[in-house]
Amino acid sequence: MTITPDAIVFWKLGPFPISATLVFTWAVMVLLAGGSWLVTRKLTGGTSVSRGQLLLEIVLNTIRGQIRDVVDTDADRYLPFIGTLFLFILVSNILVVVPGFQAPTGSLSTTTALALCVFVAVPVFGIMNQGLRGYLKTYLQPTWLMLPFNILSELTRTVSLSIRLFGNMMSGTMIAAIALAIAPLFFPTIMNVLGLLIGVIQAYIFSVLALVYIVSAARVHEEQPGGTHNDNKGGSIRGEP
Amino acid sequence: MPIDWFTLVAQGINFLVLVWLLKRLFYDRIIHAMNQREAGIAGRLEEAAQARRAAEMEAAKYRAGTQELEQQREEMLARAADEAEARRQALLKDAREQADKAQQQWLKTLQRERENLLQDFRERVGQGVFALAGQGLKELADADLEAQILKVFVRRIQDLDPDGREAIMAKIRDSSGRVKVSTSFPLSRQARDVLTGTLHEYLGEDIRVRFGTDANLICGIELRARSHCLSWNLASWLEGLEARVFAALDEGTRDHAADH
Repeated sequence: MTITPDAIVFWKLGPFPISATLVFTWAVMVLLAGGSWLVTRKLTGGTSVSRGQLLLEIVLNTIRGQIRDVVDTDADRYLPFIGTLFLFILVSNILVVVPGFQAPTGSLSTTTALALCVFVAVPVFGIMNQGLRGYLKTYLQPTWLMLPFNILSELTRTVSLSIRLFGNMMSGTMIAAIALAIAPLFFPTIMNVLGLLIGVIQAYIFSVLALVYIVSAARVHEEQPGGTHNDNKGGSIRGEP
Repeated sequence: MPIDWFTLVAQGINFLVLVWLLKRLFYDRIIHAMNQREAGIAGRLEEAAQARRAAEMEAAKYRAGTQELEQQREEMLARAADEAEARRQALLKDAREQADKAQQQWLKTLQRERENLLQDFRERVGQGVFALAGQGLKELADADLEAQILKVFVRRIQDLDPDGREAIMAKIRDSSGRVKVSTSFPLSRQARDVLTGTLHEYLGEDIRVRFGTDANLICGIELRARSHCLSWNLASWLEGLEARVFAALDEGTRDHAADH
């Protein structure tokens, strides 16, 4: 039984193995980018809209709405990163129903890579919002004694994010494999449906958590000067991992 | 659980590439299209608002125009009513004037007819009195009226007071002794001789008498020397009668006018 698609190696490019994770990731990328290109090459700004454009607009507006629920202003700044994260994980998880498809999110390498991207994105967006000095100051809040704990918080957050997604994806695969061994007829179908549900939920959770981390890092600075900015959402989630 | 570091790096790069691709092919384009549509809708809403404002202005203008027309109509009606009233007054005045004129005309016509009637009446009365008196004298005194008239006239000449006689004689002298005796009836030869004799006897021997008839005398005789006149006829009596008849007619005319 293969737990991670990393173990499936199609061919080797010198010392680098081209695993199923990379191949199916490229497949998902081609699907998303190609689909977007096909639809958006004949966009209209009028009232007559094609079905594909309508679908993309609905997806985009849904993601924007979710981002706006967390961020009060400037949702479009976070849209490409958070939206891509959500769409990539969602499509990868949904395509599990395709026979022979191995979800790239089932690989700890992928989830770690995504978590590292979030780990990098948090300071990047923080610096973009408040400048390098302002961002670094947040590690000394409320006092310089908290610096090690703040750094630890950043690291554990990344680890938790990656392990969370990988664990959920891997567990689905594991349960399906075990259930297949026990009851080979109907149970795997039910597990597949459950796997789809879990896959969608995980995509949502991963994206929202990443957004919350990024936004909370940016908001710490905003709360400092006046001390009047009361955002319980960002503050409470910051220590969640 | 091993982590393949090459896969990890590759996946990181893959993800960043996917972010870039989707940003280019998906987010930017769709957001641009939606913004464009929103701008179009906002533009159309603005156009609709402008059209609405324009329509409201047009409506206000139309209402003002209607009000003005209504006002003008009322003014025209009032003016027409005034003109009609003035025209009515003018027509009424004209009718009154015409009625007054017709009344005056009628009164003049009436006056003329009355005068004609009175003239006719006077003549008829005179003739009737003459005929009646003549007939009465003829039957009662056994003498014709002309002879009586002549007789009366002769007696009047005979009974003239000296002053009156002298005045007549002076006039006769002024007219070179010519006198004219007018009667309403032709005098007989005998009567002429009697009258001529009487005149010669009382007024002068050298008088030349000329006889003539005058229908206006109605009944009587008149002696005229220049402007002096000595006469006896029914004219004075008829004039009194005429005055009384005129007074009665005037009273009847006034009553008639008052009735109308």
